[in-house]
Amino acid sequence: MSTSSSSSKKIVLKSADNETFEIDEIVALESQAIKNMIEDECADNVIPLGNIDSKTLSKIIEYCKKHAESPKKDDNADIDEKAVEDLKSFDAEFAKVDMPLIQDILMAANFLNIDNLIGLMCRTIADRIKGKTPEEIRKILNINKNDLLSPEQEAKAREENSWAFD
Amino acid sequence: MDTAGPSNKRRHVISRTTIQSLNDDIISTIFSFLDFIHLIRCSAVCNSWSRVINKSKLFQTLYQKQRWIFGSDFDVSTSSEGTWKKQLQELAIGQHRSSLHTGSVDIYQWKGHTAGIDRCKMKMGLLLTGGSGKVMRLWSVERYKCLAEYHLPHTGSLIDFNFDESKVVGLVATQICIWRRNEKRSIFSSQGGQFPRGTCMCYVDPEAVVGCEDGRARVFDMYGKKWSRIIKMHEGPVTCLSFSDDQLLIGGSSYGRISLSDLSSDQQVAALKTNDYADLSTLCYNSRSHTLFAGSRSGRATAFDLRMMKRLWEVRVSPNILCSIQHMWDDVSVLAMGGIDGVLRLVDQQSGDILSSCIMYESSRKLYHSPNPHSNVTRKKGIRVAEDARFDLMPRTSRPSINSLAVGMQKVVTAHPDGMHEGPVTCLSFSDDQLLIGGSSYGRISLSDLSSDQQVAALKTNDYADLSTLCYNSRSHTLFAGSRSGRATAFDLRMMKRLWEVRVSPNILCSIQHMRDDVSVLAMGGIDGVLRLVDQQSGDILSSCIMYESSRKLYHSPNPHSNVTRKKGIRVAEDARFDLMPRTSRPSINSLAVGMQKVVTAHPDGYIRVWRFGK
Repeated sequence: MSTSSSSSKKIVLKSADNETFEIDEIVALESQAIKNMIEDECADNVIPLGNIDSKTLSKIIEYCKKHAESPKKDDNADIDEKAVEDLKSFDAEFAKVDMPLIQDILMAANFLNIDNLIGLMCRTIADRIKGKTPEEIRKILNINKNDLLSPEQEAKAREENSWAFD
Repeated sequence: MDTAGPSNKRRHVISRTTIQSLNDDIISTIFSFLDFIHLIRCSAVCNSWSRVINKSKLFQTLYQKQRWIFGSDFDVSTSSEGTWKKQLQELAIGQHRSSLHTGSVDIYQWKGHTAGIDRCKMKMGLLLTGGSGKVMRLWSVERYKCLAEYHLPHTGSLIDFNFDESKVVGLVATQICIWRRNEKRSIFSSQGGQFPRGTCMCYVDPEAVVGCEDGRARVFDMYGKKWSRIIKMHEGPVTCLSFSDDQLLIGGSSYGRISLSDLSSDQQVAALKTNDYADLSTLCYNSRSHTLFAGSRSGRATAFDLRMMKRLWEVRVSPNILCSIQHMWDDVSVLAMGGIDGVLRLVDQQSGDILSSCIMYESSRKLYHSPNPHSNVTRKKGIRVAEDARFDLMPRTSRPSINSLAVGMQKVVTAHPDGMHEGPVTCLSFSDDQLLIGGSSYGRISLSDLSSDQQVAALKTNDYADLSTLCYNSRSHTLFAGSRSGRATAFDLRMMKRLWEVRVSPNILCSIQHMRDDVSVLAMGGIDGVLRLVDQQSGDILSSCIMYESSRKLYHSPNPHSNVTRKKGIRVAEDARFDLMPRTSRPSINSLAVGMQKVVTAHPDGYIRVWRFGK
C-alpha cells in the first residue's frame, strides 16, 4: 500500500471543460507523462489537460487510483495472488463501457502515457472486433467514411484473401 | 507507445475521438491481439488500417508463431511479401483441413425460416438462405443474426439464387429477379414464362444462366436485361450448373451425363459421364486443382480432372441422394458432402476417401447465449462416427436431412428442409388470424405467422404419436388434432392451453371435421372404420356408427348412370368390441367432410359414402 494520503503531496488536474480533480501525487505518477513533467519541474500545482474531458478524466483517475494502491510487481518478488486477481477483475469491469468512451480513454491514456491502460483499452477493442465482418467493424468503430477503400480496392483485397472472409 | 508523451506533435482532438485519430503504434497494439484471419479482415476496413497492417511486421510475427506450431522450415526474412502471405494462407488452409478432419465439432442451430430451406450460399462471413417461404434471408455466420431480407415476387416459387457484394440474383419460377443488397424489394424482374420450368441457376457478371427441364441452358444478359442465347446441353433436363474458371459452362443431367459448353460460342466442347446412371444433383468446381466434383441421386460422388478430361475417382458415399458438395475456396484437400441421410461427410478431394462422418449428439442440447438477444440459437455437440456405423438405425433427430451446405474457414453451414419442426410437417391448417398451424411427429404443433414467417407459439399433445390431422374451429377458437395412435386433442388457441385429450380409436385417426359454425359436434374417422361423433367441449364420444351389413338394397338414384346402393347405419355402444365386427361393416375411412345433417366419408377402395342423419 502507498503511504497515508494526508501527508502526501497533492496534484490538481484540470479537464477540457474546466473541472478540477485533486489527486494524490502517487496516483498522478501512474502517468509517465505527468511524472516527467513533475521531474522536470515544469509542472505547476494545476496541470491543465486541454484535450481530455471530465468524464474521461474521472475514469482515468479511477483506474490510476486502483493501480497505484495495488502492489507493484517490482515491489516484491512474491506478490499476493489475490491482489493480482482483484486487479484483473477490476480491469474487466472497468472496460465495460461503450465504444466512444473506450476510444476517448485510449486517446487520453496515450496522451498521458499510461502503458497498462493503453494495453487494456487496445485489448478491449480487439475483443470487440473479433469475428466481425469489415462492414460491422466500420459500424462499431464509427470509421470515417472518407477513409474507406474504393470498391475496387476492397474487391481486390477480398479476392486475394478470400479464405479469411468466409 | 514508448515514445509517446504530452510533448508529442499529435493533433489534440477534443470532440469525438475516432479510431483514425489514434497513431499507428496504438493501432498496431490493437492488432497485436488479433490472429491473422482477423488481421486480414481488418486490412479491408479502411485505408489507414490497410496501410498500418501492410507496412507493419505483424504478419511476419504471426507467421513465425504459426510456423513454429506447424513446424515448417520456411524463412520469412528472406522472402517477399507475396510469398509469405501465400504461406500464411497455406497455413490457414492447413488449419482448416486438420480441424475438419479431426477437430472437435460444435453445432449452433437456429430456425432461419418457417418453411424449409432449399439452398444456402456463403461468402465473406455472410450466408444467404431461401426455400419455400416468401423471403430470402441474409445472415451473419459469426453472430447468427439476420442482416437483411429479400421479398420474393408472388409469381412463383424460388428455385435457385446467389449473391455478391452488391446484389442478389434469384431464379423465381421462370423469372430472373435482382435485388440490391440493401433493399427488400427486387429492383428488376425479367419477363417470365418464356421457357419451361428452370431447375438451377448460376451467374457470372454480366450473364445469368438458367438450366431448364428441356435440356437447354438459357442465358440472360443482366446489363441488357434480356434473354440473349439458348445453349443446347442435354437430351434430358439440366439438373445442376457450374462455371469453370475459363468461361466454360458445366451442366449436369440425368444418367450421370455432364456437358461442357463454351459460353462465348454456345458450342458444346466436351462431354463427361459418371459410371453411375443416376441423375446428377450437384456440381462443384475447384478452380485451383481444375477438378470437377459431381454428386448423384444415388449417393455417389465422382471427380473429374477437367484439363485431362478424365475421371479421377468415383465413390458411393451415401445410401441416398447427395444434395450438396462444397469445399472452401482455394482448399484442394477436403470436400463437405450432405444429403437426405443427414450425415455430414468430409471427403478427401484427391482420393474420394471418407475422412470423417459427423452427426449431432442428440441429448447435448443446451441454450447458447448468442450475441444477438433476439435469436434463439441452441448449441449441440457434433460427433464423428465410424463410416461403417449403421446410420439408418440412428435417430433422425441426430441427422436431419441436409438440403444444401456451404464451407467456410473451419466451419460448414447446413440448411435443412424444415424450419418449422425438427420432424416432418404432417398436417397443416389455418387459424382465422393468418396463423399457419403445422402438426408434426411426437405430437408437436407449431403456430407461425404467415406474414412474418416467424414461429409465434408451440403446442404439444400428451401423446407422443405423429399428428395426422388438424381442424380449427374459428368460432370457438379451438384447434382439434388427431394422431396416429387414435387420440384426439383440443386446444384453446386464445389461452394456448389444452382443453381435453381422449383416445377415441384404437388405430390411426385420419380425419377430424365439423360443420362450419357448429361448436358442438366433431366427426372423426380413421383406420378402424368407425364414424365417431364427439362433443367439441368435452371430448366425450356421443355416438359411434357403422354400417348394418345385411341391409344392402339397390337405391334408385335420380341419376340413371350411377350405381348407388343404400344401407342402414347403426349406432353401437362405445364399449362394443369393434375389432370383432366384420370389416365390411366398417371399411377404413381415409377422409371425411361434414355437411348439414350428413357426413361424407372417402375410402381406400374408391368408395364414397354419404351418411345422412334423420331426425
